[in-house]
Amino acid sequence: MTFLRVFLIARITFSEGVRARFFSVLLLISLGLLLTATYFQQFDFGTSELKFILDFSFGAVLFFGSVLTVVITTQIFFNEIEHRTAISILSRAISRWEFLLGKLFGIATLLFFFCLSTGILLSFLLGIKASELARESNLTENLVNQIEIFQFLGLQWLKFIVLTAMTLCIAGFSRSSLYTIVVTFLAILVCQLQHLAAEIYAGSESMIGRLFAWCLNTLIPNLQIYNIGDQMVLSSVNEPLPSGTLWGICLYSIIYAAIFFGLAVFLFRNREI
Amino acid sequence: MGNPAIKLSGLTRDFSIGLRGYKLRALDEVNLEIPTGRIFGLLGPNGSGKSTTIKIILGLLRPSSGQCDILGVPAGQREARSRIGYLPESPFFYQFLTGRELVRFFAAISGLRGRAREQQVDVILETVRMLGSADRLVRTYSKGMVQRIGLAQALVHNPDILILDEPMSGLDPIGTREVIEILQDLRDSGKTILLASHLLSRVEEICDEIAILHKGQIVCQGSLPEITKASESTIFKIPHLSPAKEKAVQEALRLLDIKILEFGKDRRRLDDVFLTAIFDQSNSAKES
Repeated sequence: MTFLRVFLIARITFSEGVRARFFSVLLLISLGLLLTATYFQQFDFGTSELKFILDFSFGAVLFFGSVLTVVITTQIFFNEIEHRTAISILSRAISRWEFLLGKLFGIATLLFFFCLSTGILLSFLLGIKASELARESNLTENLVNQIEIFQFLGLQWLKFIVLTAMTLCIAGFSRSSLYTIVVTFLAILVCQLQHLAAEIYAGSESMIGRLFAWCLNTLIPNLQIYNIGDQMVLSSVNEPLPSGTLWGICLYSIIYAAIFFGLAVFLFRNREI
Repeated sequence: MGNPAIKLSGLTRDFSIGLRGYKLRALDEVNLEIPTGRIFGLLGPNGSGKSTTIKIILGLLRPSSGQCDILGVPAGQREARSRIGYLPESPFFYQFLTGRELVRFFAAISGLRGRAREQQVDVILETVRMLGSADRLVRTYSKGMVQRIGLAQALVHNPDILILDEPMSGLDPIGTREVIEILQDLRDSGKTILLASHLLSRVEEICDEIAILHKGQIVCQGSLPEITKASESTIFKIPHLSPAKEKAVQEALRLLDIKILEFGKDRRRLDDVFLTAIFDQSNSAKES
């Protein structure tokens, strides 16, 4: 029963999200940027050009994916509250955590669709470019690992799920969508930069400094761990990733998504809607 | 005698305001019993505590103290919530769904499955007179239709209690009339209806009992005939009185030393004029 209720809410959330103009616009912009990336010809050698295209494309997907995640999650959450559909749903025999989990899964499905669309286009474009460059340079090896493009985008999808849970957590106590968006982006910035502070304090000689570094590492997710696109996709020119890295990142994502989701449920539990 | 549909005992709700946690008392020791099978009007000015009361009954807010029971079960419990249907004020449903899909969605999250769900959806759409428009997108509906589809979603799981927040707000007289007729049919079928409204003439028309909330307290409560009981004045309504007879009646009353407070022609209510005009026009269009 719980599964079915969560599924129904997730399905309606996905249907709402996929029809949102903001989603279509960001998806089109991302796909457009991927298409234009192949026309950049600043570099002479195959791998350098591929690296540029890859960095540019991944940058576009990650930036617009993150913006999409935060904005669409906030939009869907506050639409439900402001239009009172949340009251119509929650006045029934449905728990608040089921409602939030449905929202999380619905948005995760939407983001999966985003990652898949961009992944298919990117794989196609890089495949063409890599074979052109290989022909020109008389190389026989595969310059781009197609499967790992999808693996990398899969990791980004997990990152987006962490961001969705983080946004829901902030929306759980926030009174306005603008506040939620601003605070979530600040939180993302902190997560992106936490490794710098953690590294500085980890080398500290004082116990307090090391404890602070441990707290930073534990309490704030490090979003830099997802930046392994080059190593994954251009494995022929980079050192391969240590075994188990991908599974480690998956587990890391699931743990932080669960923590943020738990906090979101706790904050949403007593919220007046 | 069974449990009342809704029982509020010493219900108090405080809200903390600002960083210092200043307490604002929205409900203050409210005691209320709403019997089953009646239309109960919860009246009061803005900020009187109606919405807070409704949210506590729905289990969306917890009282600071006191108790709220729904058919003997504490409010907020799954069993209590499954027996309530709720229509919020000015509802705004998923615009990309058709009316049928919307009602089906609410039926599904209420636990209805398969053929039973489809049958119930059809029955409810028929009850709210929306079967003919059920396959249109919600965004194409008029306000009255949105209100009726809102009633359908509230009723689809066959709840014992229906809670309606301003169900007639923003509706034209025809829409209002339709909603009133639906509510009367529902009451006759045994449902308990709690209605929060500002439209006092409409409340008077359909409610069996009312309570008036003011500053979080019940200031007046009882059955409508009790509350609106006749004053000391007496009214006669006489059909087709000629001017000569009118004078004679006035003269006779004066001779009996009876003071006339008001004398004049009975006027039709504007609502009645409007509805008659619309229906007459519709009927003549059908005939031609």
